[in-house]
Amino acid sequence: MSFSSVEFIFMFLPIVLLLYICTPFKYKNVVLLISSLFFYAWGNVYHVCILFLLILLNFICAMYIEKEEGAIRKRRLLEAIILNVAILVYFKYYGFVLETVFAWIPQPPSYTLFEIPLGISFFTFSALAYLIDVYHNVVNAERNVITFALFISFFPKLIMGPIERFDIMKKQIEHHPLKVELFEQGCITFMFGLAQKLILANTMGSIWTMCYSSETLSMSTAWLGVLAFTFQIYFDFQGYTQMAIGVGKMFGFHLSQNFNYPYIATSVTDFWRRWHITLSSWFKDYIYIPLGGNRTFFEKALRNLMVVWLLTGIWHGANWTFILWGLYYGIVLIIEKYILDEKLEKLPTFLRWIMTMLVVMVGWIFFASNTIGEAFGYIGNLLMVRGNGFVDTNTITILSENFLYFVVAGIACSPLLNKVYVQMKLLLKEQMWYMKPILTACFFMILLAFLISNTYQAFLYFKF
Amino acid sequence: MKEIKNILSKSGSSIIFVLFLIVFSLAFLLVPAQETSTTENRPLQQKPKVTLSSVLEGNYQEDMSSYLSDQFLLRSSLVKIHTNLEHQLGKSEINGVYIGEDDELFQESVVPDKDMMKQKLDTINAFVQNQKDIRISMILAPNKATILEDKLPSNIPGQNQQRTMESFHDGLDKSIQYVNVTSALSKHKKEGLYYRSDHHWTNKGAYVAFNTWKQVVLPDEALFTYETYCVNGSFYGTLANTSGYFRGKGDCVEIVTSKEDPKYVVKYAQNQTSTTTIFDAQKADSTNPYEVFLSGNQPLIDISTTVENQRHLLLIKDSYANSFLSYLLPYYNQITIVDPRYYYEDLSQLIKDRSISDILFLYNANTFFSDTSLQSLLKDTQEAG
Repeated sequence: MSFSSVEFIFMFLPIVLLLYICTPFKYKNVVLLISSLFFYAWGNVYHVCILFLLILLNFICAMYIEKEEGAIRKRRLLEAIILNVAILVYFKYYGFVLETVFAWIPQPPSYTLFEIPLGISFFTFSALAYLIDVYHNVVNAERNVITFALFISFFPKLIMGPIERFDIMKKQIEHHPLKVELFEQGCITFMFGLAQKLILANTMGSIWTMCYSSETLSMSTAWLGVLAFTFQIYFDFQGYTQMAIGVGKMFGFHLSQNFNYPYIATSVTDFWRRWHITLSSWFKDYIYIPLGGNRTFFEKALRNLMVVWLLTGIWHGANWTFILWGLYYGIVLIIEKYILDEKLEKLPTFLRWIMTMLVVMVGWIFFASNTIGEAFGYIGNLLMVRGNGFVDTNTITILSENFLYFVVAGIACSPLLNKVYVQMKLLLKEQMWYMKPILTACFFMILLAFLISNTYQAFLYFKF
Repeated sequence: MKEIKNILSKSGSSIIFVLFLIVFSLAFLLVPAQETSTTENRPLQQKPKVTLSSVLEGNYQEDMSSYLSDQFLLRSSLVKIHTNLEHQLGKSEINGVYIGEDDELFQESVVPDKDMMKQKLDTINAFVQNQKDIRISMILAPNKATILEDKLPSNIPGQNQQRTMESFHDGLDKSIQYVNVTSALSKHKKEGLYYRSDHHWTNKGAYVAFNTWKQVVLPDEALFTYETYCVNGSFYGTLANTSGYFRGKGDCVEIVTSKEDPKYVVKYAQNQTSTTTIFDAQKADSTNPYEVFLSGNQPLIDISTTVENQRHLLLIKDSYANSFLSYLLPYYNQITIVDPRYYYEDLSQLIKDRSISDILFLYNANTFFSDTSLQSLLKDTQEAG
């Protein structure tokens, strides 16, 4: 179920809120758990079985790990990790592995692909973090199966994160009172997330799709396309995260922020401290630091970085483009850290920002393309080496049709909007009592207009 | 009062949010479901039944999602709000419709690919070779974007169809009398030749084209005088419905008659009925008033008039010919109308059976360049005859 759908906002959410409020305190978590499983089953009933499997598996394994000491403890942990990774690899990378291997075989056998369970990368990583934390005695193995199941499957974060750590979530699961101010914040956060998805991400997505599939792409149009995708992926992901955080707040939870204005970063290192924060901290805490991080001799530190970035790339998707994307960042970060280090600091901030954004935008092309060949083809258009000219009529059309969207998207990438919002709230304290309801109502109507118009489908009129 | 203000200040957004949730979700239970959407011209999804297999396969969930979207309260108003909003924010293209000056709506011009063009020319030219004793003429009507180019939004290029039509004309067999109506239409472009919110031309546009055609094909025939009657004054056509843009005045759908009209009988092959008028009065107030002409699109219609000559016209057409027909009536003893999108019989047999003496191809450029049914019909005719 997508957060930006009619079934979520006007069927699932009202029913769950109603049930939740009416249920006695003792059983509120059960309501949330059942709702989460229903939420997941709505997408695919069979996938709930995989979720169940993972929950039970890790619930039991953690208790086994905790019981043991020394070498056996370590072995139990490794077994549990291998089981989880095997499940993840099987369900996510099955098709990719077969495709790659079969490319070398003259007459490959046919195989059927099945749907990848949504969010499997996210909740598997949550589970792995839990197991490792239990091993290190950071947390105790959870004895309450409801609590643990809810930790893994809590519907706001189930499909697209944020990837939460058990110690923080456990406290909240055991104590998440419904607070009026929190609910209010939740509604507002949810609506802003919905706006980012429906208004900004979708519009930018159409522009990118048009550019990507265009045969003759002039340089300017190509750059507009990359810019559009850069906006799209941010507002899609951040929008969804804000909706997750907003819904979490409605039920008394504080989910982690996953983004901190990534597009104002002035270095690639800085960018990765602001983008998909819960994922990079996961990789730092559970892969990079255990491998030795950078507190080791030079070659090993380089190897550690490349391993982490290779895995980051693989995590994002079952395609060579993602692997290349991950390695790309590994190399860029090595250059930034070890080669350019002090020289970068001497440059003016603005220049550093432009350089960072260029690196990020080019990286997105690999992320967004279907094959590595297509990615390089697109980059060719960016550099005008494919003979498609500097500018064409599409450039003007795209710019004039979407100028305001580009401007708003740009501003929304910076803390400026938030600062204005906070200031307005202070200035208009006296008028809040009518401004809030009126603005909320107008805002919601606009969101609904965008939501419903997506499903408007006039039947082939022009044939008649 | 102060407490209320306090509550609203603190929880105003939550209250509105929850209110919206309640109102719109209860609407599904309290408001009866609509069956069809007049603006979208399609049936609306009804509440799906829960069965084990439909849930397991995901069909129930998909249908439920469509049901909730299709039956959403204030759906059509929300679509209009969205279109108006996007238009205000600078968009001039919505769902393939261009919004121009003075709320003038345009359909995106079709550019045929070279293969399509060649196929079309080949089949038409081959067909013409086999009908040597019949007088064949053709009208390709340009769409509004070519004639009212100055009203198009300025940032949209490449909507002028003239070059495409010219290159088509170049490849056409010279025995076909191809009548170029574009310059005549351009000359009269301020006279309401096209509906503002629909992709068809008005009877005024049809008349300008007719006059041009008559001067080439029937130069010695008399001219007649016509009266027009507005049968629907608030017509919002296909372009308004597709885009959701309902601003601006409604169009007027006019029918044209002449005191000098011959008497005639119209036989509709599809439902085996006959009438004495080419106009379907019931459709005037329906959801698609344009169907007042010939009840919309039919596969085969035969019209017998009291005109005293031996001429029998075969009109091969799309919907642009529907309003053109009034002007043809006084000149032929019989008119047979075929729409290749719905007619699948043997055309050459039809031509023999009805003793056709003249053929007129009448199409608008966009349909002509995107539809393949004409080729199919003519090709089948080749293979049969």
